Amino acid sequence: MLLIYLALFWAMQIFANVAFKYGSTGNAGRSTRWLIGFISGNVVGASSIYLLMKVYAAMPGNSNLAAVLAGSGGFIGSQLLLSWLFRSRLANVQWIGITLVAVGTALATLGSAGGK
Amino acid sequence: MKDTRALNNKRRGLLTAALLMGYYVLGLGANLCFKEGGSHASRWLFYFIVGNAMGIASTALLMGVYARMQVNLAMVLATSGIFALVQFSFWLIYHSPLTWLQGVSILLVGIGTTLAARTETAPADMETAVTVPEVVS
Repeated sequence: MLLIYLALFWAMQIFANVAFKYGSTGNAGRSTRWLIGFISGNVVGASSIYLLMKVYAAMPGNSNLAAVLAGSGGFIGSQLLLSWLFRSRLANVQWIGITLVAVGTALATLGSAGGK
Repeated sequence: MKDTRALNNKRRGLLTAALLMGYYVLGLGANLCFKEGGSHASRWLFYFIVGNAMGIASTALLMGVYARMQVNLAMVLATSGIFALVQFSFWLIYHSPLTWLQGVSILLVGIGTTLAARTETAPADMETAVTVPEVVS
C-alpha cells in the first residue's frame, strides 16, 4: 500500500509542477494562463498531500526517510518532464549540479535505511 | 544604458532571491504541519488545512521564480532548499536520526545546488525566453 501511495503522490506532484511552469510562461501575474496553472497545480498538489500524510503515517519510525522518498521521486520525474516539455538549455556544469542533488537525495534514503 | 541594464538585472536577481526565500519559509512551515498531522491523528484536519494554506501561498512565489529562471534550475533550487531545511528541522525538532550517509547527502545537495546556481548558461531557451539572474543563491 505504501508503494501505491508513493506512486500516486509522485504523479500528482509532477502534474502540479508542470502546471505551475505552464502558468508562469504567460504575462506573469495577470493572465488567464497564470490562473489556470495556479488553480490546477494547487488542486492536484494540495490533494496529493493527503497521500504524503499517509506515507508519514505508514513510516512512523523515520520521518526523514519518508520525506526523502516522497520528495525524490517527484523531483526526478518533474525534472525530466519539464526539461522535455520546455526544452530547457542548461550548461553542463548545471546539469552536473542537478545530478549531484539527485544523488544526494538517493544517498539520504540509503542512509536512513542503514540507520534504522 | 549599460548601467541601467545592470541595475535592472540586479533588481531582478534580488526579487528572484526574495521570492525563493519566501518560498522556503512557507514550504518549511507546510512540511512541519504535514508531519504533525501524520503524527497526531486527532488534529489531522487542522494541520492538513494550515499546511495546505501555507503550501498554496508558497506556490504563487514558486511561479514567480519559474517565470524568472530556467525551469529545471528554479526547481532544483526550490526543491533542494526545502529538502535541506526539512532534514535539518526534523532532526532538530523531532530528533529524527541522521546517519553519516545522510550528512554526506546533504553536503552533496549543497554542492549540487551551488553548481546548478552558476550563472554560466547554455543559449537561452527560445520558447520560454527565460534567463538566469545574476544574484541567485
